[in-house]
Amino acid sequence: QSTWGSNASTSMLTCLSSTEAHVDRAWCVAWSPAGNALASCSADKQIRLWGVREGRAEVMQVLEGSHDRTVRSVAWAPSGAMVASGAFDGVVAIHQANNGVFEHVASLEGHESEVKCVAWEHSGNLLATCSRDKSIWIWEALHGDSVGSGELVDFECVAVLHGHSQDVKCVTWHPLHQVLVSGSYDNSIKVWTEDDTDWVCVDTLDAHAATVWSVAFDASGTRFVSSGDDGTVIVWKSLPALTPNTSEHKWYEVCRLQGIHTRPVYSVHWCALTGAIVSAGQDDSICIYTLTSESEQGRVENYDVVCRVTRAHVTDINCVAWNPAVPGLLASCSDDGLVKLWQLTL
Amino acid sequence: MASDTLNPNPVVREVVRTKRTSEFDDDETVSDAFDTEEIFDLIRDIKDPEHGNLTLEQLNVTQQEYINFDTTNDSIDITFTPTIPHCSMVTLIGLCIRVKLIRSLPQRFKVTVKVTPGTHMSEDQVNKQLNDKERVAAALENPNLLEVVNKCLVKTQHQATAA
Repeated sequence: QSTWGSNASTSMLTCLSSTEAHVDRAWCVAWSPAGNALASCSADKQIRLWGVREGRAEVMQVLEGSHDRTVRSVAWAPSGAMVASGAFDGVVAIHQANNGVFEHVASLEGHESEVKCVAWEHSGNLLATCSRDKSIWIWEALHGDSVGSGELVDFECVAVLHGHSQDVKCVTWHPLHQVLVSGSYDNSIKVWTEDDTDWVCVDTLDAHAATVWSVAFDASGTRFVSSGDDGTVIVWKSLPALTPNTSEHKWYEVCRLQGIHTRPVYSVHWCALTGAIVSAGQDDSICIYTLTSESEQGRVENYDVVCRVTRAHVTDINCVAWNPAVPGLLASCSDDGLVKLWQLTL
Repeated sequence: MASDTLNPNPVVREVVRTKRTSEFDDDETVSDAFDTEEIFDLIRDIKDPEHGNLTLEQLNVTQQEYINFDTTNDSIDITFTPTIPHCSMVTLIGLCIRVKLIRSLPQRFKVTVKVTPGTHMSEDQVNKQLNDKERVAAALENPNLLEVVNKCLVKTQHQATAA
C-alpha cells in the first residue's frame, strides 16, 4: 500500500479476503444492518447472500430466478428482514426472510427500462428505485398480518419523481430525515423531499462535468459525497444544517477531490463509524479520505487522501461499502466477479 | 432496403494487407506486448452495419492512426469516423468496435471509443453513450441488438482463411 497526501500517513488498507463471488461482472455489494452479512449481485442474474466472520465471506444463500437480466443493485431493509434488488429487466424484487431463509415475495413493476439503484429509507417504510426511464419511484411498505415467523409486506407506489432529463443512476436517503438525493446521466444531482403530500425537487446541483455515478451521506446527514464519470469526488454540505422541518434546502460544494482517480469513479461511501470516505472506479484503485480542516464558516473543507490501493482489483471496481458495525471494514466488488474484504487502520 | 440506406455511394478504399513483421514473431520465448497494429487487426474487418459487404477499414471508418495505445496504463483510445455526419448507425459502429475489443483483449485494458472530433452531428451524445459501461452492458443484453452486432463481427469465409 502506498500513501498519498500532504502528511505522511500511517493509515493502511489491508486485504482480508478475496472471494470468487460471481461468474460475471459483480455490480453491487451491500452490508446487512447488523454488519454480519453481505449481499452481492451480478450480471450472472444472481444475488448472493454471504455470512461474514473474521474477514471472510461464506455463501449463505443464492437467490436466483427473481430477475432474468443483470441484477444491478441490492439493498438490505433497516430491519435486516428484507433485501430489495433492482435489475436491467426493469423489475424491483423483494426478498423476505422466513425462518432465516430469504424468499422472493414480491416483484415491483412499473419502471419502463433498466433499474439502476434501489435504496431503503431509514425507517424502512419507504423504498426508492431509479431507472434509465429518467424517473424515481417511491414505494411504501404496507405491513400486513403476521404469517408464520414473518410479516407479509405489500408495496404501493406513492410517488413518481420526474425532473432528471436522462437516466437516473443512483439514489440515496438521508440517514435521519425523509430526504432523497439522486444522481444522473444528465450530470446533475437533485435533492427531493415531501412537501405536504407531494414529492418535490428542492435543489439541483450541477457541479459534475459528466454522469453522476454514486452519492452517499455521512452519519449526521449534514454532508454527502458524490462521484462521477469525470473522475471527480465532491463533498456537499447543508448550510444551515438540515432539520426535520427544513423546507428550504441549500447544499454547497465544500470540497472537490480531483486528479486522484484517473478514470470514472463508480462508487463512493461514507463510513458512519470512522468518518472516512472511500471511492473506487474504473482505474482499479481504492482511495480513502478523511477530513483534515474546515474554514470558520464551514464553507470550505479539506480532505486528505490517507490511503490508496492501486490495482485493488484487476479491473473496474463497481462498488465499495463500509460495514455499519465494524469500524473500517470495507467490501468491494468488480468486473472480475470478485468480492474483496478490506480492513482500514487509521 | 436500398432506398433506406443513408449513404448509398460511400467512398471505398483499396485495402492493402502487409504481412506483419516483428523481430520477435518467430521467438516463442518473447512475450510481445500488444501494439496498435494488433489492435487494428482486431477491428479492421468489422462489417459496416449499413453496407454489410464492406469493412470499416474499406470505408475508412477505422485506421491504425486513429488508435492511441498507452502501454504504461494499458489504456486504448480509439476514434472512428462515420462516413457521413448524420450517420444513424454511428452508435452501432462504436458498439461493434467496443464489443470486438471486450471479447478479444484481457480484462485489464481500458478502452475508450469515440467519434473522430468534428465528424458527427451528435458527437457528444454518441461518445457519452459508447463509454457508459452500464448503457453498453444493458444494450448487449438486448438479443436483437446483439444479433446485429454479432453479424457485423462475423468474419467472412475469405477473411477467415486469409487470417
